[in-house]
This record gives sequence, C-alpha cells and structure tokens, in this order.
Amino acid sequence: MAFDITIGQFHNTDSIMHRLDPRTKVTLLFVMIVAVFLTDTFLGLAVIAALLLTALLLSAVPPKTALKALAPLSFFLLFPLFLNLFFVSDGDTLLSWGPILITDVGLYQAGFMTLRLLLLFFTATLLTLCTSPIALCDATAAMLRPFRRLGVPAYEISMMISIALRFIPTLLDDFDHIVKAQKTRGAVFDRGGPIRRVKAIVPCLVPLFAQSFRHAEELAMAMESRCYHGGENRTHYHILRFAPRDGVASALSLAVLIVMLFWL
Amino acid sequence: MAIVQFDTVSYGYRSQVAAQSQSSALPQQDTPPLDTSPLPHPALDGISLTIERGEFVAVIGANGSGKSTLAKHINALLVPQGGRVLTMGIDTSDEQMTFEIRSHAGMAFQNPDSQMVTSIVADDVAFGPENLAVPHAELVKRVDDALDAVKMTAFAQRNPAHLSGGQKQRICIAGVLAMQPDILILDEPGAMLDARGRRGIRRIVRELNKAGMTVILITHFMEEAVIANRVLVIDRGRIALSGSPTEVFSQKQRLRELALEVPFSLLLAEELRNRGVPVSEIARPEELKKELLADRGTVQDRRGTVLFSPFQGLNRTVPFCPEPSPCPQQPSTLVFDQVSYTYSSHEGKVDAVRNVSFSIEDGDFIGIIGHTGSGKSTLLQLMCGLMTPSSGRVLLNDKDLRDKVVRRNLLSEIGIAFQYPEYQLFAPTVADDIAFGPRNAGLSHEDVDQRVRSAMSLLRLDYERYARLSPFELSGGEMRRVALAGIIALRPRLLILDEPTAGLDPAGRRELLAIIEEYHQQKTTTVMVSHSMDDIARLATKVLVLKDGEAVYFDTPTAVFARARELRAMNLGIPTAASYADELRAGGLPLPEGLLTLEALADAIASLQQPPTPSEVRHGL
Repeated sequence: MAFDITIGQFHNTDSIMHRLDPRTKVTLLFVMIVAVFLTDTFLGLAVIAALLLTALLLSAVPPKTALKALAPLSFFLLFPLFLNLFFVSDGDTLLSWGPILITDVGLYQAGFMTLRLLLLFFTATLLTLCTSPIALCDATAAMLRPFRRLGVPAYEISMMISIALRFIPTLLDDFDHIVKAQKTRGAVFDRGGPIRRVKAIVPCLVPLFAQSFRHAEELAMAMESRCYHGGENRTHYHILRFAPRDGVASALSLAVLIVMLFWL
Repeated sequence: MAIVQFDTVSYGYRSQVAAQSQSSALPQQDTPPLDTSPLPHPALDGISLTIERGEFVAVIGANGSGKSTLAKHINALLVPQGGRVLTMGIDTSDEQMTFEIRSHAGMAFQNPDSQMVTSIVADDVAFGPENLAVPHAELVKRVDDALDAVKMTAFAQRNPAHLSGGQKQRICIAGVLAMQPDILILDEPGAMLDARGRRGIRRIVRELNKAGMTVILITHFMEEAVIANRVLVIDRGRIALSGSPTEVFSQKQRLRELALEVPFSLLLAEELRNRGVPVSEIARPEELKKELLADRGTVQDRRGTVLFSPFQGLNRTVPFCPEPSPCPQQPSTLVFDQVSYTYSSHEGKVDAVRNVSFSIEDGDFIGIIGHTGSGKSTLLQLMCGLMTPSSGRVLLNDKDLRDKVVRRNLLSEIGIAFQYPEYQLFAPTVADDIAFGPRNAGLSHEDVDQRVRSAMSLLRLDYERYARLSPFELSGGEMRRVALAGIIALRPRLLILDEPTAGLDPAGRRELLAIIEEYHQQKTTTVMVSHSMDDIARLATKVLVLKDGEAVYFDTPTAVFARARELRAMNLGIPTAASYADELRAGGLPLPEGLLTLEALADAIASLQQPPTPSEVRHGL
C-alpha cells in the first residue's frame, strides 16, 4: 500500500478542475510553462501565481495537501536559490562576510529564479492532483494520435502506460514479499562491501523476474481471451469530449500567454 | 445443436512431444524425470465430448491432468494437434474466426492480479467490449450490467489494487460478461480466494447459469463441482469419469485413485451407512440434509440446550489452561503482550493489530483464522520479528524480539512460510535453494548438505531425483515443497505457515498437511493461518480468531467453533461437519454442540437412530 503510484498524488474529489478534459489540462500545463519562462518581471510571476491560486481554489484540493505534494521538490528550489545567492558577484554588495558575498543582483536573481521554479512545480503538481494517471494516459494517447501517420504507436503507448501503472504496485508488493521471505532465511542486505551487497540482492531479483514473467504470460493469455488485437478497430469506454468549460479555460490561458508575450 | 464439440482431440506441449520422441530413441537417463513439467503423456489424449447450450459442466482432475488445456481449446487459445474442436459450430483451427469464437466463449483465469489491464474497475470491465468495437452507448450499458451481475456496481471507479481477492475475481468475471458471451469458461477461479470469496463466485456462477449461460468451470474444489449439472473428471488427458455429480462422486474408490476428493456429503452418507443409518448416495448437500430430516419430523425437544455432549472426546483437544493464568509446568515459547501495530497510509493511521495478547506454548499447534484485512499477515510478521510492535512486547522464550542479539539468533528459532512460498525460489538447483538458509546461518559444508538431505526427505523430495534440477522446471506442488524444505532446513522450533495449501489440488493439500503434521510432531510448535476450517479443526490445538486487528477468541477448536453465529458475522466459516450439524439441528435433529469432524457428526446422527438411553433422557436429550 505504501507504493501506490496509481493514485500517486491524485486527490480524488469532484471539482471543475477535475472535470476539465485531461487534454485541456495538459495543454494548460504547457501554456503555463511557456508563460513562466516568457515573463521577466515579478509582476508577470504574480499574475501567474494569482491564476494558479485561483485554480487551486477551484480544484477543491486542500492547500495543505498541495503543499505536502510540493515538499519533496524543495531541494530543487533551495539549490538554485543558494547558487544564485552566493555565486553571483555582479551588482552592489549587500553583505560580505568572509568568503560569502551577497549582491543585489544575486538576491534579485535568486528570488526570481526560485519563484519561477516554484510556479513551475506548482503547475505540474496541480495537474497531477486533479487528474488521475489513467486520464493523463488517455490524454497522452489522444494527443499523440495525429502522429500515428508518422508511425508513432499512440494507442499501444497508452496501453503500455496503463499496464505499467496497473502492475508496478503489484510487482513492488511481490518484491516486498520476496525480500521479507529471504530475510527470514538469513539473507543480509545491509552489510559488507558493494560486491557483497549486489550479490545479496540476487536471491530477490531472480524471483522478481520469474514472477513478472508469470504475470506477463497470464496477462497475455487473458488479453487474448478478451479479443485484444492492437489499437485498430476498437472503441473507447472513455470518450474525451471538450465541454464549454474547456473552451473557457483555453481562452483564458491563451489570453495570459498573449499578455505575457507583449506586456509583462 | 451442441455449443461445444470435441472430436478425438489430442494436444501435447512442445517439450512433451520432444521428450516423447526422445524417450523412444535414447536410453532412459536422458529423458527428463517423470512428474516434472514435461509430462509423460500428451496433455489431451483423444478427448471427445459434447456440451449443450445452457449446461453447467464442472471439470475436475489433479494438477497436470490436462483440464486447463481442455478449457483453452474451447476458446481457441490452443488449437488441437489431432482431432477437431467446434465452438458454436465454428472450427477453432480457422484462424479467421479466432476472435469470433473468443467473443462467444469468454474465459477468466486463476489469478485476478494477472488478468486486469487498468487501474480502474470500470475501465477494466470495458476492455473486452472495447476490443469488440462495441459502440459507446452500448459499451457503457454493458459495463454497468456486467458490474451489476457480479454485484460490484459500487466499486466501478475504484482501484482494483484496493479490493479483496474475491472482489477482484468478480471484476474479472464481469470483464468476460461484458463481452456478452454464450459460454463462460472459468479456469480455477477460486484457487487464490478465501472461503468467502469462493462462496461469492459460486453464487454468481449459479445465477448466470440459471439465466441461461453455458458454464464450464475448472476447479479443485468439490463443493464447487457438486453444483454443476455434469462433472467431467480428467486424468492424464482423458475423460476418466463423466456424469451427474451424484453419479461421479459416488465412485469413491475411483476418485481416490485419481487423487481427488470425495465431497463431504458423500463421505457423510458413507459413514452413516457404515453405522447402519440408511441414506442414499447424494452429492448435493441440501438433498442429503433433506433426506436426513425427512423421516424425523419435529418430534424432538426443540429447546436446543444441550447439557452434555458425549462426543467431546472425539475431537482432538489437548488439555489447556484457562486464560489468563499461564500454565506453571509449561513455559511459554512465544508471548504477545498487549501488542499493537499502527502504520500510516494515505487514508490516515491504520491500526493493523490492536492490543493483542496471547501466549503460545511448546508443542502447540495454533490455527489462526480471520477475514481478509483482519491483521493476520501483520501478526505473523510481528511474530517473526520482521515488524516491531508500535506498543507492547513480543517475547520469545522470555526475551524481547526487539533485542538485537535475540533477532540475530532467530534463524534457528523461527521459520516462516508466506503465502505461495514457491515465488521466492531463485537458485540454479533445488539443493542450492534449500541450502540458502543453512549457509546464511554459517553452518559447515557437511552440515549444510546434511540439512538439505533431511529437509528434502521430510518434504518427500527424492534427493537423487530432484537435487540437481532447476526449481523452475518443477510442477507447482513440487516447487511449494522445495520452498518449504528451504525453511525447514533451518530446523526452526517455531514454524509459521501462511495458507500453506493455497492453490494446490486435493492430493497436494492432503500430502502437504501430512508433512506439516509430521514436522509438528518432531517437538516443534506450529502456527498456521488457514481459510480451511476443516484443516484447523483437525490439526490445531488452539484457535486464534482475529477481527479488525483484535484477537477476539483464543481457545480450543471446540470452544471457538461453537460460536458459529459470531464467526459467520465475521465472514468466517465453521468446519463443514459443524455447519451440517447446525443445519440439521435447525431442522429439528437434536444434535449436540461441538461436532467438528466427519466421524463425530456421523456418530451423533447414528446415535439418534437408536432409542435414547435412560442417561440421555435424564440429561434432557
């Protein structure tokens, strides 16, 4: 249960953000990324932040949950912050103490960079909080569809992602069981040099492979029994349909992009 | 017209064909040993049979008898090498028609975890009809109908990973039903489920058949086979027996020869006739009960209070000390002292085990029962030191399991076999795999070898024949025994077994239980989790009942199984004999409480046939 990536960060409730077509949401993600990189003023970032906060309010995701989802990324925020803060030597010196030198340009850049990254992470997190991995997978397939003529197996890719999402927790569970079983037979994983440690993992990896082949074989048989024959000539249970709200969201994001491009 | 027709169908797996041609040309030692996966006979050997529309056929047979191969021929997963299969009148060897055939003959398999393609229930059910290019409006309706038929509508948007095995298997059946097949083929659907899960599947299959679906059910469970109209017994690729459940199951001698089980109802009828009670041979339990109640009317005293049971001595009970005062003469091996275990999941804190206290004494055979999610597996992991309690203590011979020194020496103290232990096999040879534990324990080369040999002999694995084979070329039952040998080779004084017989055929189950009993008698203590109340009633000296992480009962089997109503409320069963006794008692037979075994039940029923003795009258019987 600890490794439930099929839910991942998905916060399962019902809201306008949840009901948006996943293709719209993926598009919005890209628009926001472009917007964040286009703007070079704090005002621009503030507008984006305001939009994102509105989206968060609309999504019915508790702010605490959103913050918790962001927490693991904090290293990627702090690292550039310190890098800019301490290693930019242009501009007027604000603080000089031993080898540490902080300049106004450094401070500005550090602040701007960190905010930019924060907004990027926040956009992506918001997407995963209100879109299930399966819906993301559907969206990927749909958006790759135009490339099918170029030989991109759009449907197969989404089938693969779906099966992977379905089986990764199962395999992690299997692995957990195997590790525990070998432990009770005296296997030790945390002692000795690197070679010994790698060797120690073999009694766990071999059964895991055996197990995944077993799953694969049975899955193939079950899929064949259910008449799977690739992506051609097939209907879909989920029909992705754009609703008026998708139009509104897209128009809004386009407007933001234009504003960013020309004024901010 | 027949919906399925087999005309002298033969099929051999490629390795078998090779092995066969080899065996005629080369000396004996070059052919693979018997009993390992390349069978000495073709999987199907000239089978002819006809199944009519609306029939319910159960196919039984030992592992490797060819029953699964037979099922896979019906929906063209396999195509006969000799002879011909017609499904819905279509020759299955016609490759143009493969999908047509599969849309009429849907099949679900043993392991629900391996069959599902997505992580949302409704999407998975939709997979089949999507492949059949069913238009969207109808697709939605089919998914709804299929989920309704298996009573899983409420779970449509759930992730199957969070469902129980029985629920998952129902989803898999719904996935087949959504294709609206004429024939439903189920390949051991109950093999990985608990009793409750199997009951659910049984009910659904029965309903579907009543509604007109042709059902072909491959099973190891005789209680599933008796609900069919027709039973086919497959042995070495041939039909050994065929007929109504009563016709087939009354051939008890033949069934035993075929390594199969005789259903409880027929065993009871046999025992009763041996005791001079005239009953006919009936496979369906309800009919037998009806007959037993028929000529009795309701003459008996219905107060139901039984003051004295003459049959208590027949149950395997050992003297035990009433809780909580510990036995002074017997030191406790393993003590749970107010143990709780809490973990946090995305749904908040979960109390997997709550304030559990009990003690296991040397030589005990503890049976643990509990519904899915009752905390059984957490309890076992606490018991062997894989998890440490959030509060409370687990003591082994008065030493806390949290102590590092104690944990280091656990290897020769506690052995644990998780469910499906064969999935942990890894070494190139059987002997190497079994030696893994003893080698880790730092034993000398000679000692390791000696341990391997003795463990193999206990598990009835001939050293000369198996030691050098790869564990991956063995049959499922053999792999299970190799895995257990690997645990027993450490000679644990406390052996913990989680569902050791899950997925085995009747002969395999019997054999393994006999081995477990034999090891237990070598002065060891055994803890066994099982869904089979019959096995628990027969083997355990004490039964621990878990409910929502709490230990609700810890007592002798007789005392625990006397609480049938409470156990049923926890979705647990009681031994077959006890449930027969309950129903007969409800029908008016004044049977005493505490009848846990076939013999005890037969004795009790037989004694009712005789005029009551004065002492029984005095006791209110």
